[in-house]
Amino acid sequence: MTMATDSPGAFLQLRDVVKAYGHYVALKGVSVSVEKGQAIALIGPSGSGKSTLLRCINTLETISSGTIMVGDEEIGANTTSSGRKKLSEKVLARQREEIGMVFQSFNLFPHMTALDNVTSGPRLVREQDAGKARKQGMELLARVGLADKAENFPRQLSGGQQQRVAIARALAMQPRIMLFDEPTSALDPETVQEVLNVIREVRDSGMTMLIATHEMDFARHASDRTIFMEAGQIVEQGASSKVLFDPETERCRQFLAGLTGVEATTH
Amino acid sequence: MNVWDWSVFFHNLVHPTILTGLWTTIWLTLLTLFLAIVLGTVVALIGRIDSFLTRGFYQGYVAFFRATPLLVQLVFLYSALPQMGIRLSVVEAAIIGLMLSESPYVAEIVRSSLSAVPTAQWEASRAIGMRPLTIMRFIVFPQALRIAVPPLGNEFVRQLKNTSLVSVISMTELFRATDNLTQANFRVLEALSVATLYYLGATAIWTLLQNAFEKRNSRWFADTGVQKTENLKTTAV
Repeated sequence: MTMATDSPGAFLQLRDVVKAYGHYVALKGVSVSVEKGQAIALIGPSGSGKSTLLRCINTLETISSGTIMVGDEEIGANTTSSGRKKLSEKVLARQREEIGMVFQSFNLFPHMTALDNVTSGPRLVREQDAGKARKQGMELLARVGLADKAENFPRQLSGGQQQRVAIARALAMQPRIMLFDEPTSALDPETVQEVLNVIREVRDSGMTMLIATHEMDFARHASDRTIFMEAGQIVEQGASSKVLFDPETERCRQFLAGLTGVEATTH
Repeated sequence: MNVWDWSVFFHNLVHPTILTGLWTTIWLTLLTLFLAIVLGTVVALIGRIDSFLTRGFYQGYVAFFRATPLLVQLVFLYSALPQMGIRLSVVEAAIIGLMLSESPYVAEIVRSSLSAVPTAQWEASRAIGMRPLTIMRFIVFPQALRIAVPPLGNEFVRQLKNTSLVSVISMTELFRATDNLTQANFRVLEALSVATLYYLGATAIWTLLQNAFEKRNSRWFADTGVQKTENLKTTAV
Protein backbone atom coordinates (compact mmCIF):
# COMPACT_ATOMS: atom_id res chain seq x y z
CA MET A 1 0.00 0.00 0.00
CA THR A 2 1.26 3.42 -0.92
CA MET A 3 0.85 6.04 1.73
CA ALA A 4 0.55 9.64 0.69
CA THR A 5 3.44 11.77 1.65
CA ASP A 6 3.93 15.47 1.38
CA SER A 7 5.82 16.21 -1.72
CA PRO A 8 7.64 19.52 -1.93
CA GLY A 9 6.58 20.15 -5.52
CA ALA A 10 2.91 19.52 -4.82
CA PHE A 11 0.45 21.97 -6.38
CA LEU A 12 -2.65 20.46 -4.78
CA GLN A 13 -2.11 19.04 -1.35
CA LEU A 14 -4.71 17.36 0.85
CA ARG A 15 -3.71 16.41 4.37
CA ASP A 16 -5.85 14.16 6.57
CA VAL A 17 -9.08 15.44 5.08
CA VAL A 18 -12.10 14.26 7.05
CA LYS A 19 -15.68 14.90 6.01
CA ALA A 20 -18.47 13.80 8.30
CA TYR A 21 -22.20 14.20 7.91
CA GLY A 22 -23.43 13.73 11.45
CA HIS A 23 -22.39 10.21 12.36
CA TYR A 24 -21.64 9.19 8.79
CA VAL A 25 -18.02 9.76 7.85
CA ALA A 26 -17.65 10.09 4.09
CA LEU A 27 -13.91 10.82 4.07
CA LYS A 28 -11.78 9.24 6.77
CA GLY A 29 -8.51 11.12 6.62
CA VAL A 30 -7.53 11.42 2.98
CA SER A 31 -4.11 12.71 1.96
CA VAL A 32 -3.23 13.37 -1.64
CA SER A 33 -0.60 15.45 -3.35
CA VAL A 34 -0.75 16.35 -6.98
CA GLU A 35 1.96 18.06 -8.98
CA LYS A 36 1.24 20.82 -11.42
CA GLY A 37 0.09 19.48 -14.78
CA GLN A 38 -0.64 16.02 -13.47
CA ALA A 39 -3.84 14.19 -14.31
CA ILE A 40 -5.16 11.98 -11.51
CA ALA A 41 -7.82 9.34 -11.96
CA LEU A 42 -10.02 8.62 -8.95
CA ILE A 43 -11.55 5.17 -9.07
CA GLY A 44 -13.54 3.09 -6.66
CA PRO A 45 -17.03 1.74 -6.06
CA SER A 46 -20.06 4.01 -5.69
CA GLY A 47 -20.14 5.65 -2.29
CA SER A 48 -16.39 5.34 -1.85
CA GLY A 49 -16.01 9.10 -1.43
CA LYS A 50 -14.71 10.13 -4.87
CA SER A 51 -17.40 12.74 -5.43
CA THR A 52 -17.21 13.99 -1.87
CA LEU A 53 -13.47 14.44 -2.24
CA LEU A 54 -13.89 16.57 -5.38
CA ARG A 55 -16.73 18.56 -3.81
CA CYS A 56 -14.54 19.29 -0.80
CA ILE A 57 -11.69 20.53 -2.97
CA ASN A 58 -13.83 23.24 -4.50
CA THR A 59 -15.57 23.87 -1.17
CA LEU A 60 -19.06 22.92 -2.25
CA GLU A 61 -18.74 20.85 0.93
CA THR A 62 -16.97 22.10 4.03
CA ILE A 63 -14.47 19.61 5.38
CA SER A 64 -14.64 18.61 9.03
CA SER A 65 -10.89 18.60 9.58
CA GLY A 66 -7.62 18.51 7.71
CA THR A 67 -6.22 20.97 5.20
CA ILE A 68 -6.46 21.50 1.47
CA MET A 69 -3.82 23.62 -0.24
CA VAL A 70 -3.71 24.84 -3.82
CA GLY A 71 -0.33 26.39 -4.47
CA ASP A 72 0.38 28.41 -1.34
CA GLU A 73 -3.24 29.06 -0.54
CA GLU A 74 -5.33 27.11 1.92
CA ILE A 75 -8.76 26.31 0.49
CA GLY A 76 -11.99 26.67 2.45
CA ALA A 77 -10.49 27.61 5.78
CA ASN A 78 -7.70 29.37 7.53
CA THR A 79 -5.79 27.02 9.80
CA THR A 80 -3.50 28.57 12.34
CA SER A 81 -1.98 27.35 15.56
CA SER A 82 -5.11 28.53 17.37
CA GLY A 83 -7.45 26.45 15.21
CA ARG A 84 -9.37 26.24 11.98
CA LYS A 85 -11.59 29.07 10.81
CA LYS A 86 -13.96 28.86 7.87
CA LEU A 87 -13.45 31.56 5.28
CA SER A 88 -16.12 34.08 4.37
CA GLU A 89 -18.48 33.30 1.51
CA LYS A 90 -16.80 36.05 -0.48
CA VAL A 91 -13.37 34.45 -0.25
CA LEU A 92 -14.80 30.97 -0.85
CA ALA A 93 -16.49 32.21 -4.02
CA ARG A 94 -13.18 33.64 -5.23
CA GLN A 95 -11.43 30.34 -4.54
CA ARG A 96 -14.12 28.40 -6.40
CA GLU A 97 -13.61 30.60 -9.46
CA GLU A 98 -10.16 29.13 -9.83
CA ILE A 99 -11.16 25.50 -9.27
CA GLY A 100 -13.17 24.31 -12.24
CA MET A 101 -15.80 21.65 -11.66
CA VAL A 102 -17.60 19.47 -14.18
CA PHE A 103 -20.59 17.50 -12.91
CA GLN A 104 -21.93 14.10 -13.85
CA SER A 105 -25.29 15.61 -14.85
CA PHE A 106 -23.79 18.66 -16.67
CA ASN A 107 -25.93 21.16 -14.75
CA LEU A 108 -26.00 23.71 -17.55
CA PHE A 109 -28.29 26.69 -17.05
CA PRO A 110 -31.36 25.69 -19.09
CA HIS A 111 -32.54 29.25 -19.75
CA MET A 112 -29.27 30.30 -21.36
CA THR A 113 -27.83 29.42 -24.76
CA ALA A 114 -24.62 27.39 -24.96
CA LEU A 115 -22.64 30.60 -25.46
CA ASP A 116 -24.34 32.37 -22.54
CA ASN A 117 -23.60 29.36 -20.36
CA VAL A 118 -19.93 29.56 -21.25
CA THR A 119 -19.74 33.32 -20.71
CA SER A 120 -21.85 33.30 -17.52
CA GLY A 121 -18.80 33.16 -15.25
CA PRO A 122 -16.80 35.92 -16.96
CA ARG A 123 -19.90 38.13 -17.28
CA LEU A 124 -21.61 37.60 -13.92
CA VAL A 125 -18.64 36.89 -11.68
CA ARG A 126 -15.76 38.81 -13.27
CA GLU A 127 -17.99 41.49 -14.81
CA GLN A 128 -16.06 41.20 -18.01
CA ASP A 129 -17.05 43.31 -20.98
CA ALA A 130 -19.75 41.48 -22.99
CA GLY A 131 -17.90 41.65 -26.31
CA LYS A 132 -14.71 40.26 -24.84
CA ALA A 133 -16.55 37.51 -22.96
CA ARG A 134 -18.38 36.59 -26.13
CA LYS A 135 -15.19 36.38 -28.16
CA GLN A 136 -13.51 34.20 -25.55
CA GLY A 137 -16.68 32.11 -25.24
CA MET A 138 -16.75 31.44 -28.97
CA GLU A 139 -13.10 30.39 -28.87
CA LEU A 140 -13.85 27.94 -26.08
CA LEU A 141 -16.87 26.53 -27.89
CA ALA A 142 -14.69 26.06 -30.95
CA ARG A 143 -12.12 24.32 -28.77
CA VAL A 144 -14.72 21.76 -27.63
CA GLY A 145 -16.02 21.47 -31.21
CA LEU A 146 -19.34 23.25 -30.72
CA ALA A 147 -18.96 26.65 -32.37
CA ASP A 148 -22.02 25.93 -34.51
CA LYS A 149 -24.17 25.27 -31.41
CA ALA A 150 -23.50 28.62 -29.72
CA GLU A 151 -27.10 29.81 -29.96
CA ASN A 152 -28.68 26.47 -28.98
CA PHE A 153 -30.29 25.97 -25.61
CA PRO A 154 -29.03 23.01 -23.52
CA ARG A 155 -32.13 20.92 -24.17
CA GLN A 156 -31.45 21.17 -27.90
CA LEU A 157 -28.08 19.48 -27.38
CA SER A 158 -27.17 15.85 -26.84
CA GLY A 159 -25.72 14.75 -23.52
CA GLY A 160 -22.18 14.70 -24.89
CA GLN A 161 -22.60 18.17 -26.35
CA GLN A 162 -24.00 19.49 -23.08
CA GLN A 163 -21.05 18.08 -21.18
CA ARG A 164 -18.62 19.70 -23.62
CA VAL A 165 -20.38 23.03 -23.07
CA ALA A 166 -20.06 22.43 -19.31
CA ILE A 167 -16.31 21.87 -19.72
CA ALA A 168 -16.03 25.08 -21.74
CA ARG A 169 -18.00 26.91 -19.04
CA ALA A 170 -15.52 25.76 -16.41
CA LEU A 171 -12.52 26.61 -18.60
CA ALA A 172 -13.88 30.12 -19.18
CA MET A 173 -12.85 31.00 -15.62
CA GLN A 174 -9.25 30.03 -16.43
CA PRO A 175 -9.07 27.65 -13.48
CA ARG A 176 -5.83 26.47 -11.89
CA ILE A 177 -7.26 22.98 -11.45
CA MET A 178 -10.10 21.11 -13.11
CA LEU A 179 -12.21 18.56 -11.24
CA PHE A 180 -14.34 16.11 -13.19
CA ASP A 181 -17.00 14.23 -11.25
CA GLU A 182 -17.81 11.15 -13.33
CA PRO A 183 -18.19 13.31 -16.43
CA THR A 184 -19.25 10.48 -18.72
CA SER A 185 -21.42 8.39 -16.40
CA ALA A 186 -24.69 9.97 -17.53
CA LEU A 187 -23.89 9.73 -21.24
CA ASP A 188 -24.95 7.47 -24.05
CA PRO A 189 -22.09 5.15 -24.99
CA GLU A 190 -21.69 6.84 -28.41
CA THR A 191 -21.06 10.25 -26.91
CA VAL A 192 -18.61 9.16 -24.20
CA GLN A 193 -15.60 9.35 -26.53
CA GLU A 194 -16.25 12.90 -27.72
CA VAL A 195 -16.24 14.06 -24.09
CA LEU A 196 -13.15 12.03 -23.21
CA ASN A 197 -11.36 13.49 -26.22
CA VAL A 198 -12.07 16.99 -24.97
CA ILE A 199 -10.86 16.08 -21.48
CA ARG A 200 -7.72 14.58 -23.00
CA GLU A 201 -7.13 17.80 -24.92
CA VAL A 202 -7.51 19.82 -21.71
CA ARG A 203 -4.97 17.54 -20.04
CA ASP A 204 -2.56 17.93 -22.95
CA SER A 205 -2.78 21.69 -22.54
CA GLY A 206 -1.06 21.21 -19.17
CA MET A 207 -4.06 21.50 -16.86
CA THR A 208 -3.80 19.93 -13.43
CA MET A 209 -6.81 17.69 -13.04
CA LEU A 210 -8.61 15.15 -10.94
CA ILE A 211 -11.15 12.94 -12.60
CA ALA A 212 -13.49 10.55 -10.85
CA THR A 213 -14.28 7.95 -13.46
CA HIS A 214 -15.43 4.45 -14.24
CA GLU A 215 -13.74 4.61 -17.66
CA MET A 216 -10.77 2.40 -16.91
CA ASP A 217 -9.49 2.66 -20.43
CA PHE A 218 -9.37 6.42 -20.12
CA ALA A 219 -7.70 6.18 -16.70
CA ARG A 220 -5.05 3.86 -18.16
CA HIS A 221 -4.20 6.01 -21.11
CA ALA A 222 -4.89 9.55 -20.04
CA SER A 223 -3.98 9.78 -16.36
CA ASP A 224 -0.55 9.96 -14.77
CA ARG A 225 -1.65 8.55 -11.45
CA THR A 226 -4.60 6.60 -10.19
CA ILE A 227 -6.08 6.67 -6.73
CA PHE A 228 -8.29 3.78 -5.66
CA MET A 229 -10.74 4.71 -2.93
CA GLU A 230 -13.11 2.67 -0.86
CA ALA A 231 -15.27 3.55 2.15
CA GLY A 232 -13.87 7.06 2.42
CA GLN A 233 -10.23 6.01 2.38
CA ILE A 234 -7.47 5.71 -0.14
CA VAL A 235 -6.72 2.02 -0.50
CA GLU A 236 -4.03 2.30 -3.12
CA GLN A 237 -2.41 5.00 -5.20
CA GLY A 238 0.43 5.22 -7.63
CA ALA A 239 1.32 5.45 -11.29
CA SER A 240 -1.71 4.50 -13.38
CA SER A 241 0.34 1.92 -15.24
CA LYS A 242 1.04 0.22 -11.90
CA VAL A 243 -2.32 0.57 -10.08
CA LEU A 244 -4.47 -0.34 -13.05
CA PHE A 245 -2.39 -3.17 -14.50
CA ASP A 246 -0.72 -4.66 -11.45
CA PRO A 247 -2.39 -3.47 -8.25
CA GLU A 248 -0.74 -4.24 -4.94
CA THR A 249 -3.88 -4.62 -2.87
CA GLU A 250 -6.25 -7.53 -3.21
CA ARG A 251 -9.23 -5.16 -2.90
CA CYS A 252 -8.13 -3.05 -5.84
CA ARG A 253 -7.52 -6.17 -7.91
CA GLN A 254 -11.02 -7.42 -7.10
CA PHE A 255 -12.55 -4.09 -8.01
CA LEU A 256 -10.77 -3.91 -11.35
CA ALA A 257 -11.63 -7.51 -12.17
CA GLY A 258 -15.29 -6.91 -11.39
CA LEU A 259 -15.40 -3.71 -13.38
CA THR A 260 -13.52 -4.82 -16.43
CA GLY A 261 -14.45 -8.47 -16.47
CA VAL A 262 -14.87 -8.54 -20.22
CA GLU A 263 -12.12 -6.07 -20.95
CA ALA A 264 -9.55 -7.81 -18.76
CA THR A 265 -9.32 -10.76 -21.10
CA THR A 266 -8.15 -8.48 -23.88
CA HIS A 267 -5.18 -7.18 -21.89
CA MET B 1 -91.56 44.78 -19.82
CA ASN B 2 -89.60 42.53 -22.22
CA VAL B 3 -87.41 39.78 -20.81
CA TRP B 4 -84.43 41.03 -22.80
CA ASP B 5 -83.95 44.43 -24.37
CA TRP B 6 -81.03 44.72 -26.79
CA SER B 7 -81.16 48.50 -26.81
CA VAL B 8 -80.60 48.57 -23.03
CA PHE B 9 -77.79 46.06 -23.41
CA PHE B 10 -75.96 48.15 -26.02
CA HIS B 11 -76.69 51.32 -24.13
CA ASN B 12 -75.06 49.80 -21.02
CA LEU B 13 -72.17 48.38 -23.00
CA VAL B 14 -70.78 51.86 -23.68
CA HIS B 15 -72.29 53.68 -20.73
CA PRO B 16 -69.72 56.01 -19.10
CA THR B 17 -70.60 54.70 -15.62
CA ILE B 18 -69.86 51.12 -16.67
CA LEU B 19 -66.69 52.05 -18.56
CA THR B 20 -65.39 54.06 -15.62
CA GLY B 21 -66.19 51.12 -13.34
CA LEU B 22 -64.41 48.74 -15.73
CA TRP B 23 -61.34 50.95 -15.77
CA THR B 24 -61.34 51.04 -11.94
CA THR B 25 -61.59 47.24 -11.83
CA ILE B 26 -58.67 46.88 -14.23
CA TRP B 27 -56.26 49.25 -12.55
CA LEU B 28 -57.25 47.99 -9.11
CA THR B 29 -56.58 44.41 -10.20
CA LEU B 30 -53.24 45.17 -11.82
CA LEU B 31 -52.02 47.49 -9.07
CA THR B 32 -52.97 45.22 -6.17
CA LEU B 33 -51.68 42.10 -7.91
CA PHE B 34 -48.39 43.88 -8.58
CA LEU B 35 -48.16 45.00 -4.95
CA ALA B 36 -49.09 41.51 -3.78
CA ILE B 37 -46.34 40.02 -5.97
CA VAL B 38 -43.77 42.40 -4.47
CA LEU B 39 -44.99 41.80 -0.92
CA GLY B 40 -45.46 38.05 -1.44
CA THR B 41 -41.95 37.70 -2.92
CA VAL B 42 -40.42 39.54 0.03
CA VAL B 43 -42.37 37.34 2.46
CA ALA B 44 -41.31 34.19 0.54
CA LEU B 45 -37.65 35.26 0.60
CA ILE B 46 -37.86 35.89 4.34
CA GLY B 47 -39.44 32.44 4.70
CA ARG B 48 -36.45 30.87 2.94
CA ILE B 49 -34.00 32.17 5.51
CA ASP B 50 -33.06 29.22 7.64
CA SER B 51 -34.00 30.32 11.12
CA PHE B 52 -36.74 29.57 13.62
CA LEU B 53 -37.93 33.18 13.67
CA THR B 54 -38.20 33.73 9.91
CA ARG B 55 -39.90 30.42 9.29
CA GLY B 56 -42.35 31.16 12.13
CA PHE B 57 -43.06 34.59 10.68
CA TYR B 58 -43.68 33.10 7.25
CA GLN B 59 -46.04 30.43 8.46
CA GLY B 60 -47.92 32.86 10.70
CA TYR B 61 -48.25 35.42 7.92
CA VAL B 62 -49.58 32.94 5.39
CA ALA B 63 -51.92 31.32 7.89
CA PHE B 64 -53.37 34.62 9.10
CA PHE B 65 -54.05 36.34 5.79
CA ARG B 66 -55.22 33.19 4.11
CA ALA B 67 -57.60 32.23 6.88
CA THR B 68 -59.47 35.54 7.09
CA PRO B 69 -62.03 36.37 4.38
CA LEU B 70 -61.25 39.31 2.13
CA LEU B 71 -64.64 40.81 2.92
CA VAL B 72 -63.84 40.82 6.64
CA GLN B 73 -60.39 42.32 5.97
CA LEU B 74 -61.90 45.11 3.86
CA VAL B 75 -64.56 46.00 6.39
CA PHE B 76 -61.98 45.80 9.17
CA LEU B 77 -59.64 48.20 7.34
CA TYR B 78 -62.40 50.63 6.44
CA SER B 79 -64.73 50.49 9.43
CA ALA B 80 -62.87 49.02 12.39
CA LEU B 81 -59.53 50.82 12.12
CA PRO B 82 -61.09 54.29 12.61
CA GLN B 83 -62.06 53.13 16.11
CA MET B 84 -58.30 52.83 16.72
CA GLY B 85 -57.75 56.28 15.26
CA ILE B 86 -56.54 55.10 11.84
CA ARG B 87 -58.67 56.47 9.05
CA LEU B 88 -58.21 55.08 5.54
CA SER B 89 -59.98 56.39 2.47
CA VAL B 90 -62.08 53.94 0.45
CA VAL B 91 -59.37 53.64 -2.16
CA GLU B 92 -56.62 53.13 0.42
CA ALA B 93 -58.62 50.47 2.26
CA ALA B 94 -59.42 48.72 -1.04
CA ILE B 95 -55.80 48.69 -2.22
CA ILE B 96 -54.38 47.57 1.12
CA GLY B 97 -57.06 44.91 1.63
CA LEU B 98 -56.70 43.42 -1.84
CA MET B 99 -52.91 43.47 -1.58
CA LEU B 100 -52.77 41.84 1.85
CA SER B 101 -55.31 39.14 1.13
CA GLU B 102 -53.55 38.16 -2.11
CA SER B 103 -49.98 38.24 -0.79
CA PRO B 104 -49.96 34.84 1.01
CA TYR B 105 -51.05 33.08 -2.20
CA VAL B 106 -48.26 34.77 -4.13
CA ALA B 107 -45.80 33.96 -1.34
CA GLU B 108 -46.68 30.27 -1.57
CA ILE B 109 -46.30 30.31 -5.37
CA VAL B 110 -42.93 32.07 -5.16
CA ARG B 111 -41.69 29.79 -2.41
CA SER B 112 -42.62 26.60 -4.26
CA SER B 113 -41.28 27.92 -7.58
CA LEU B 114 -37.94 28.80 -6.02
CA SER B 115 -37.61 25.40 -4.41
CA ALA B 116 -38.59 23.73 -7.69
CA VAL B 117 -35.31 24.94 -9.25
CA PRO B 118 -32.91 22.02 -8.71
CA THR B 119 -30.19 22.47 -6.10
CA ALA B 120 -27.76 21.37 -8.81
CA GLN B 121 -28.29 24.80 -10.38
CA TRP B 122 -27.09 26.43 -7.17
CA GLU B 123 -24.07 24.12 -7.08
CA ALA B 124 -23.12 24.71 -10.69
CA SER B 125 -23.35 28.46 -10.10
CA ARG B 126 -21.33 28.35 -6.90
CA ALA B 127 -18.74 26.17 -8.63
CA ILE B 128 -17.92 28.99 -11.04
CA GLY B 129 -17.66 31.46 -8.19
CA MET B 130 -21.08 33.14 -8.21
CA ARG B 131 -22.30 34.70 -4.98
CA PRO B 132 -25.80 33.99 -3.62
CA LEU B 133 -27.41 37.24 -4.83
CA THR B 134 -26.03 36.78 -8.34
CA ILE B 135 -27.25 33.19 -8.40
CA MET B 136 -30.70 34.25 -7.25
CA ARG B 137 -30.99 37.05 -9.79
CA PHE B 138 -29.52 35.49 -12.91
CA ILE B 139 -29.88 31.74 -12.47
CA VAL B 140 -32.65 30.80 -10.05
CA PHE B 141 -35.17 33.63 -10.47
CA PRO B 142 -35.54 33.37 -14.26
CA GLN B 143 -36.15 29.64 -13.93
CA ALA B 144 -38.55 30.07 -11.00
CA LEU B 145 -40.45 32.76 -12.89
CA ARG B 146 -41.26 30.35 -15.67
CA ILE B 147 -42.65 27.92 -13.11
CA ALA B 148 -44.58 30.68 -11.32
CA VAL B 149 -46.33 32.24 -14.31
CA PRO B 150 -49.19 29.74 -14.82
CA PRO B 151 -50.28 29.81 -11.15
CA LEU B 152 -49.81 33.61 -11.05
CA GLY B 153 -52.14 33.81 -14.04
CA ASN B 154 -54.76 32.10 -11.89
CA GLU B 155 -54.20 34.71 -9.25
CA PHE B 156 -54.88 37.49 -11.76
CA VAL B 157 -58.27 35.98 -12.51
CA ARG B 158 -59.02 35.52 -8.82
CA GLN B 159 -57.96 39.07 -8.04
CA LEU B 160 -60.08 40.43 -10.90
CA LYS B 161 -63.13 38.78 -9.38
CA ASN B 162 -62.17 39.76 -5.84
CA THR B 163 -62.22 43.47 -6.74
CA SER B 164 -66.03 43.20 -6.86
CA LEU B 165 -65.96 42.87 -3.07
CA VAL B 166 -64.67 46.40 -2.57
CA SER B 167 -68.14 47.55 -3.65
CA VAL B 168 -69.12 46.75 -0.06
CA ILE B 169 -66.95 49.60 1.23
CA SER B 170 -68.53 51.79 -1.47
CA MET B 171 -65.79 51.81 -4.08
CA THR B 172 -67.32 52.15 -7.53
CA GLU B 173 -65.72 49.45 -9.60
CA LEU B 174 -67.39 47.46 -12.37
CA PHE B 175 -69.88 45.61 -10.18
CA ARG B 176 -70.98 48.62 -8.15
CA ALA B 177 -71.20 50.73 -11.31
CA THR B 178 -73.46 48.10 -12.81
CA ASP B 179 -75.55 48.03 -9.68
CA ASN B 180 -75.84 51.84 -9.72
CA LEU B 181 -77.10 51.73 -13.25
CA THR B 182 -79.85 49.25 -12.42
CA GLN B 183 -81.10 51.59 -9.69
CA ALA B 184 -82.08 53.98 -12.48
CA ASN B 185 -83.83 51.65 -14.94
CA PHE B 186 -84.31 48.35 -13.07
CA ARG B 187 -82.89 46.38 -16.05
CA VAL B 188 -80.71 44.06 -13.99
CA LEU B 189 -80.34 41.28 -16.55
CA GLU B 190 -78.85 43.47 -19.31
CA ALA B 191 -76.61 45.31 -16.87
CA LEU B 192 -75.18 42.20 -15.26
CA SER B 193 -74.71 40.59 -18.69
CA VAL B 194 -72.56 43.55 -19.70
CA ALA B 195 -70.52 43.26 -16.50
CA THR B 196 -70.09 39.53 -17.04
CA LEU B 197 -68.96 40.13 -20.59
CA TYR B 198 -66.30 42.59 -19.44
CA TYR B 199 -65.04 40.23 -16.73
CA LEU B 200 -64.77 37.49 -19.34
CA GLY B 201 -63.05 39.83 -21.81
CA ALA B 202 -60.44 40.92 -19.27
CA THR B 203 -59.69 37.30 -18.40
CA ALA B 204 -59.41 36.36 -22.08
CA ILE B 205 -56.92 39.15 -22.82
CA TRP B 206 -54.85 38.11 -19.81
CA THR B 207 -54.85 34.50 -20.96
CA LEU B 208 -53.53 35.55 -24.37
CA LEU B 209 -50.70 37.52 -22.77
CA GLN B 210 -49.85 34.63 -20.51
CA ASN B 211 -49.79 32.16 -23.39
CA ALA B 212 -47.44 34.43 -25.33
CA PHE B 213 -45.08 34.57 -22.35
CA GLU B 214 -45.16 30.81 -21.84
CA LYS B 215 -44.51 30.19 -25.51
CA ARG B 216 -41.52 32.48 -25.45
CA ASN B 217 -40.04 30.49 -22.56
CA SER B 218 -40.79 27.15 -24.14
CA ARG B 219 -37.63 27.66 -26.21
CA TRP B 220 -35.65 26.44 -23.26
CA PHE B 221 -38.21 24.70 -21.13
CA ALA B 222 -38.67 21.03 -21.81
CA ASP B 223 -42.29 20.12 -21.30
CA THR B 224 -44.42 22.58 -23.21
CA GLY B 225 -46.19 20.86 -26.05
CA VAL B 226 -45.69 21.69 -29.69
CA GLN B 227 -42.36 23.46 -29.62
CA LYS B 228 -40.79 20.48 -27.91
CA THR B 229 -41.25 18.04 -30.77
CA GLU B 230 -40.04 20.62 -33.29
CA ASN B 231 -36.87 21.14 -31.33
CA LEU B 232 -36.24 17.48 -30.82
CA LYS B 233 -36.09 17.03 -34.57
CA THR B 234 -33.35 19.60 -34.89
CA THR B 235 -31.35 18.22 -31.95
CA ALA B 236 -30.80 14.62 -32.81
CA VAL B 237 -27.50 15.14 -34.53
